[in-house]
Amino acid sequence: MPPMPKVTFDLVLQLAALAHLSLTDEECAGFTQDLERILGYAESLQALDTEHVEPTSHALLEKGLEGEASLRADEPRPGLDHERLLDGAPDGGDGLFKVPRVLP
Amino acid sequence: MSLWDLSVRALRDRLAEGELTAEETVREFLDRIEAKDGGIGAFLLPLADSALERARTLDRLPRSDRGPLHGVPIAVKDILSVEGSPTTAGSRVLEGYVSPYSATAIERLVNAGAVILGKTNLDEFAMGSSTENSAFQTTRNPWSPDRVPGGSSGGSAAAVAAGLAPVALGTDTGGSIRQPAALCGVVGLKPTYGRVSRYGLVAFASSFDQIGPIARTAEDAGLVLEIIAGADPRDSTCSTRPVPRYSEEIGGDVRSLRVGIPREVLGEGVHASVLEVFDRAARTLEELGVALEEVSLPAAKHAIACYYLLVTAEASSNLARYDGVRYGLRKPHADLHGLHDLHGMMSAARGAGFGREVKRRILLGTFVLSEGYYDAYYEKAQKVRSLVGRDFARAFENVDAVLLPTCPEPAFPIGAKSDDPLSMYLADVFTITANLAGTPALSFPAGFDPAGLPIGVQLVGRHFDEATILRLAHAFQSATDFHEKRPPTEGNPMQRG
Repeated sequence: MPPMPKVTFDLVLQLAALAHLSLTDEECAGFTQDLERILGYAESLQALDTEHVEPTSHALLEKGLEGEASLRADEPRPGLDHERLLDGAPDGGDGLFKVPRVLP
Repeated sequence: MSLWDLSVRALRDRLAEGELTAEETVREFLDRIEAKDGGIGAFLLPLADSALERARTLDRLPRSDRGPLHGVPIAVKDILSVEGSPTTAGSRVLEGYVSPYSATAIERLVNAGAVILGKTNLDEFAMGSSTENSAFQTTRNPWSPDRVPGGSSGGSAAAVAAGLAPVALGTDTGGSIRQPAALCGVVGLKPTYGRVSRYGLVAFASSFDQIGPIARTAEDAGLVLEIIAGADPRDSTCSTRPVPRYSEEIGGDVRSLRVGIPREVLGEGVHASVLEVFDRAARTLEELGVALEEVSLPAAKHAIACYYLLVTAEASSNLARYDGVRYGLRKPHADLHGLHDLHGMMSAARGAGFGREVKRRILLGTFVLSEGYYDAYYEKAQKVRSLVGRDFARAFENVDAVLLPTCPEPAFPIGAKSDDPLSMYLADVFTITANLAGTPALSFPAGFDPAGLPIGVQLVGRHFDEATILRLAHAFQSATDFHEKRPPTEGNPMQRG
């Protein structure tokens, strides 16, 4: 088990970059403290013996309820109207969502 | 009794008999919203015009074409899509967004004849326990305007408590139906995970989120659940199991039932008046012929830590879609590389659009899922989730339901916890175990604290056994009158005669 990391201003900045979040310095400092405290609280889990416990990845896939969820046949079906969906975009047109150029 | 004070059951029966028209019913509630919601702030968006138009259409329908909820008005948490209306999820990031389709639960209610009264306030993306994280407005507890209504479905709970809607839909990821229902003195039902389709529900934590009713009585909650529950090809996690007629089975005998009391979780940090109400509720069930048995939930004390690691991980992934490309906010952004940089565009939109608690959870979830910490945090929490599920499975070998307080304390003052995220998370201590286990749970009013604030208790049932907890709560409500009390500003119908 790795020791609990020290939550630093730089770690929070790194997380923010991964999550595409622009933060002010004030926000970043506040979240550094918050994450430190919340992760400190969550440390209590490490004391629990879970060596022979399977993780729950889905609320119905454990406990004998596997049959509850079912996949539909993978067949084409009518979907939502293309133009109507584009209407909601902040920048769209010509049947496309527009974003800044990603290639030079 | 005034029209607004009628149960869904009574309204439905009078509408079906033609004693009331849909239009006069809807108008009554719209008038009350107009007159009273200024002081409460339950609604983000009343849908007066479309509701009245819909009511008039319903009134013209021949009787044979009328549905089981013909003319019954319902308020909807603004995280559920209603075609043609804005869905904000309580966030500025969805500015300008209009839903191009309706949620399955909404579609089924409308097909059953219900009328959508409006969209109710919530914590941004359902992240919160007080509705203070709404980007738009404060919602006040109808029982005491300086206190929170609970959250995240605080607008829906306050609307029902104040008689602005006879019933409402909420969503419950970690108690967000039951906790506000308890703090506002009404009934809130979180169905089994997979009982109600999540199609059209803005996703927060997809392995936890469930839609359910907030009403004044267990019977009314059953009337709505039997409409919205059931298989949906648009949500593969939605169960194909047949839906019982909850409202017809609700009067069944409770004398053969056994209810578990997990004494060990009722420890430190639980308000004395909550413990008192809890003990009295247990005794009332016993007087009704229910057998009480001690049960043990040893993993419950780890539930909050487990829950906040898992839901933030799921949220960080789900909320990646709010990037200013397909809908919502787009902000001017730095032109970093001589190009209109994509990362800069997304970061600017998300930085400006999300509130503090949402950012906090995205950052925590990103950490939990990051390389090097995934096993220690995310996978560890998934294993603890299994332990919480095992506790309930073991308890349900001996009992039919487990009784728990809904919240450790009555409604707290507005602002009391808003700067302290961890203390806000601790308010969810009794509700999140049912979300971790995926079991159904129902909160109902069971008493008041000395200041007159409502206190709720909840019954947790076996997977897909909403019928039993509804039946127990109905028996309790048939023997008590807590659900008939109204906030002080309305007087008390029991005393009004």
